[in-house]
Amino acid sequence: MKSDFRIALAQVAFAAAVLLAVQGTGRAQQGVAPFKVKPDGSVAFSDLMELTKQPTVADRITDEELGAIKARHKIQYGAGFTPTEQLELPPRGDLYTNSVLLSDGKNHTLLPMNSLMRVPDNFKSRVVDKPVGKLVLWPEFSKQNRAWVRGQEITFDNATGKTPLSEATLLLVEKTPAIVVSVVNGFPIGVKPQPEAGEAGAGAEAPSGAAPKRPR
Amino acid sequence: MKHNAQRILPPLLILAAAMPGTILRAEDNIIRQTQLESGIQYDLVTSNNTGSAYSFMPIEEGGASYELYAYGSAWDTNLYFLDRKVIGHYLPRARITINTQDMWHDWFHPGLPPRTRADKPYTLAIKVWGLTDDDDAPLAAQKVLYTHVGQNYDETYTPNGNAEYVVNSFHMFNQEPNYTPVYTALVPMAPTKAMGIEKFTISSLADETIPETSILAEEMLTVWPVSEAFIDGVETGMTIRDSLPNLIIRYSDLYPLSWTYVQIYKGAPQLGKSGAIFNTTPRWHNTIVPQSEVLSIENWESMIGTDGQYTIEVVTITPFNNWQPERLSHVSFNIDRNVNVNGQVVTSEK
Repeated sequence: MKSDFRIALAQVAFAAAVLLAVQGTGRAQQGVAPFKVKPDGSVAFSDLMELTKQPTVADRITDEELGAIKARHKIQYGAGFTPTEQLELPPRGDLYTNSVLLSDGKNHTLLPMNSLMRVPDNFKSRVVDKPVGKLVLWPEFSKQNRAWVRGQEITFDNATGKTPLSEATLLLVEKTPAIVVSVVNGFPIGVKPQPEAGEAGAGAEAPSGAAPKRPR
Repeated sequence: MKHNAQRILPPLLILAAAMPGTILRAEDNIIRQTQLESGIQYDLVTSNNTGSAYSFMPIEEGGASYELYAYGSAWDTNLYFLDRKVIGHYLPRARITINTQDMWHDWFHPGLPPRTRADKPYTLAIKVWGLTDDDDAPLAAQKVLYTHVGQNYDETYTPNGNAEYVVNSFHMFNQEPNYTPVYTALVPMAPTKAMGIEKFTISSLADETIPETSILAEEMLTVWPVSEAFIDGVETGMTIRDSLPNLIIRYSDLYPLSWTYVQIYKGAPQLGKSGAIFNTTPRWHNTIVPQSEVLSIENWESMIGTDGQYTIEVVTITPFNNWQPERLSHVSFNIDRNVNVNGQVVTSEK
C-alpha cells in the first residue's frame, strides 16, 4: 500500500568554511555513500528507502561488551614518549588577564597593555578591572563610544620607541577631551614607555594604560 | 638556527578551528601579536574566517607570539582561545591526524572537528620532527609536550561548565607513531553514553630562548553516544487479543548523520530480517549534534495480517558499519484475536 511519507529533516546548520592551517592536520578522504546528496544537504527519499532494504547486521552494543573491547585497545605509547612529572594541560591563552578593559557601562572592550595614551579624570571610571556586559571588539566599540574614546594613529616605530612621538601628536593627544588609545592602521597597540631625558636604556616602567611621556 | 631580527613575517595563514559542536559566527576574530622581548602587544581584528594576514609589526630579536581568539556560536558570546604560534629562534614541527569512520562529516561540515561514536574506533597518527638529540641544546629544541585532554558534554551537547581533564601528557622526541584502533578515552557513566570532546595537542616547551609556548599541532575529536530507542505500548511476550494499543517510540541520541525507522514483521526476532516500515517513523538527520524525538503510532491495523507472533524493531543506519542497518531495540508479541469456544452445544426440550 502506497502512502505519503513525511520525512522530518532536522535543521542543517553548516559551519562557515574555515581553513585548518595547523601543520599537517589531516582529514579523511570522502567516502562513497550509497545515496546522492543535494546541494541543500538533503537526500532523496527514494535513496533512503533503498537503504532500508538492507538486512540489519548488528544489534546495539551493550556497555559490558564495549567496556571489554576498550580494555583490550588502550593506546600503548612507545619509547619516544616520556611521561611528564605531573599531568599537564596544553598551553592556553587568556586575553582578559593581559589586557586593559574599557567599559561604557553596558559592554566592554579589550585593549593591549600600555595602549592608553590619555585618560582624562572625568573618564577614569571607564577603565575597569572586570568585564561589564558583553565583549565588543575595538572597531565596533570605538564607533559606539566615539564621544569619550578615540584612537590616535601612531607608527610601529613610535610603539617600539625607535622613533619618539611627534610634538604635534603629543599636543593633539593632550588636547583630546576623551580617552585616547594608540592605534596602528586602526587597530590598538601597546606603546613601549618612552625614556625620560637623562635616563639610560628603556626607562622606567610605566603603569599599564598610562600615557607615554613627552620627550624633552 | 636563528631567525633574522626585525624581519617582516611572511603571510601567516590564520588558523581558526571551530569549537566542537559550535558554529563560529562569521564575525570578528582577534589576533594578538606580542613582541616577546619588549612585551608590546598589537590586536588585529579580522572579519574573515579564512584567508591570510600580514603581521604589521616587525619581529624583534626575541621573537613574537601570535594568539588567535574567536567568538563561539550564535548563543555563545564568549571569546575562545583557539591557537598560539611563536616565531623565534627555533621551533620544531608536528602533525596530528585523526581519521574516523564518519568520513562524511568533513564533507557536510567542513572545518568542524572529526567525530565518531562512543563504540567506534578511530586512528591517530602523530609526527614530530625537527628536534635535536643534543643534550646541550635549548630545551625547546630537544623535546615537545604532547597532551591528550578530555571534556565531557552534558545533555545540552556542550561542555556547559564541565572541566577539562588530562588523559595523558608526555614529552616527545622525533617520531612518527600511528595508533589504531583507538577508542574514546572520555570517562562517562556508561561506555555507550560517552559524549564530549577530546583534544590532542603538541606544543613547544618554554625555555630561556623562547619564554612562551607555541602550539605546534592540535586536533580535536567529537564523540557522540550510541543511539538508543525505546518501544512502549507493547511488551515482549504479551498477547494482544483485541484492538491494537497505541505505540510510543522514543528515539534517543540519534547519530547526527543517520536514517532511522521502525519496522514490523511476522515471526520471532531475527537479525537480518526486513519488515514493513511504519510510515510516520522514518527520520533523516544531517546535523551537528544528536537528535532525540518521541513518536506516536496509532491505528496500525494495516500493518498486521493473520494472527501470530510479530516483532517490531527500531533500526538506524549511519556511516558506521558502512551504512548498513543496526538494530537499536526490538519487541516481540503475539496477536491472537480468533475467538475459540470450548464446550458442547446443548439443547433441551421441555
